[in-house]
Amino acid sequence: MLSILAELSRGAATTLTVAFGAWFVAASLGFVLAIARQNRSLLIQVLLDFVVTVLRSIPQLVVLYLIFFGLGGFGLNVGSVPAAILGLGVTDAAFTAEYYRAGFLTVTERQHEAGLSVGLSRFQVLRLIVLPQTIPFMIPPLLNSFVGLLKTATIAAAVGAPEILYRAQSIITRTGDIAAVAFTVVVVYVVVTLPLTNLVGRLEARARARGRRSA
Amino acid sequence: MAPVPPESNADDAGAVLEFRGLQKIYAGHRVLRGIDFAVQRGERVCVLGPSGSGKTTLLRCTNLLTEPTAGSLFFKGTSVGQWPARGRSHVNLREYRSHIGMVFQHFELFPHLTALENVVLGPIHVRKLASEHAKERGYQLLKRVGLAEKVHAYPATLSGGQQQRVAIARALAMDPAVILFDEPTSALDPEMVAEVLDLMTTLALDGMTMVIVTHETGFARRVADRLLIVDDGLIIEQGPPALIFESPTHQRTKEILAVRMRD
Repeated sequence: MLSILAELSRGAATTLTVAFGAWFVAASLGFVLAIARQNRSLLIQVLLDFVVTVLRSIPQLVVLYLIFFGLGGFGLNVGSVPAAILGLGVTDAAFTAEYYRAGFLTVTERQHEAGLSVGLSRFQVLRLIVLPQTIPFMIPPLLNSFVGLLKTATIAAAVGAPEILYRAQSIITRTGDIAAVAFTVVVVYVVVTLPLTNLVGRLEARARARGRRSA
Repeated sequence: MAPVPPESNADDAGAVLEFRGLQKIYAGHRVLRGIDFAVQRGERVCVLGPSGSGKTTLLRCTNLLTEPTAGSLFFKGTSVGQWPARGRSHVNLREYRSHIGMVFQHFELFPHLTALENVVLGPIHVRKLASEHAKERGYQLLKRVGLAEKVHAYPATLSGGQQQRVAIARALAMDPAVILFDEPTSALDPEMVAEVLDLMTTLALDGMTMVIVTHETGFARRVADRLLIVDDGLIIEQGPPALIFESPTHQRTKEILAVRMRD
């Protein structure tokens, strides 16, 4: 039993690595996408719209296969964990970009103008006025996306990343003890996810209070 | 008390701002239909007119938050732009705007920054002043607008009148050549109008060049060197307040002033 728990813990560590890595990719790439979509050039708008729409419409497993096996076809051998991080991160970035964009929209055009009229550049307005007002609203959705990634990280098993579900399956094949293993997996997930979900709830309440104060 | 007209000497010669033939068309609607307008150094110009007459657009075209459709704009004798032919001249837009203060109807303080941080944002990030120096000046400015004890307060904890006074300090911090006021008291509760108008009167007496869009006729009459009456995108009448209030030449001016007197 203890060895099972130890093995599942190693799996959980891999899951966390994949989820955190993918979250980091999504949060950074999504940010870049959202900033790029502020650009007024029509060409850039259309191009980015296309990229985001495509990313949002393909299943993550397909992206994961494309990276893991597809890049292999070009002689680029990506390990299963980096492939999972990249695949999940890139698809999630499309959603994260929308969170940022929605966040940017909470800052009114009049605030932008107040910044411009002092002589700030558009980039300074973004950095000094828009982002600091947006970040409190961004933290809950970003944490939520991390919780989501903890769960979708299980699809990394499909390319052989030894995350928690992958380990569980191999233990089950070995011991045949489905119930105990499944129960342990559930407990591990609940223990990790529950505090995070709780934190999201509290941060959301705080962001709402902040929104009311500055309205 | 009648305002003292600014002494004219060689240094003061020439307009700080000048518009010739300013037009603005929004989606087929001609908001400004050909405005010639100059502001001399040290002059206080009040712009009066009904809602939708183009007063705010006139201010917004001045600091180019709105691009004019036609006309030429000069700042201290230098061309800022010529529309539609050449568009904006090769002036640095940010540099230009940093010399034109703007005070908004809804204050538009930055809610995530304290009063002092609001005031020093431009000096630090546009003028590149050292933080300590900017803060010392910022503190002096907040003291000047009567808010020395609110230096570290966030906008949400300040009253409307206090917020607008911080906004005025924010504009002053850039040492602007002129400050544009867009209905600075229209969003205030009545009991807070006086503190803002008093501060603006003090600035006027200190010789600040000001263009003020307002509905406060009493204030305009006391403080302005010149009134502009704007109606339907045109300046229909202008001159010293005493003259315009006592003997307006235009029937429309009488109507506009009569309505405003009642508020």
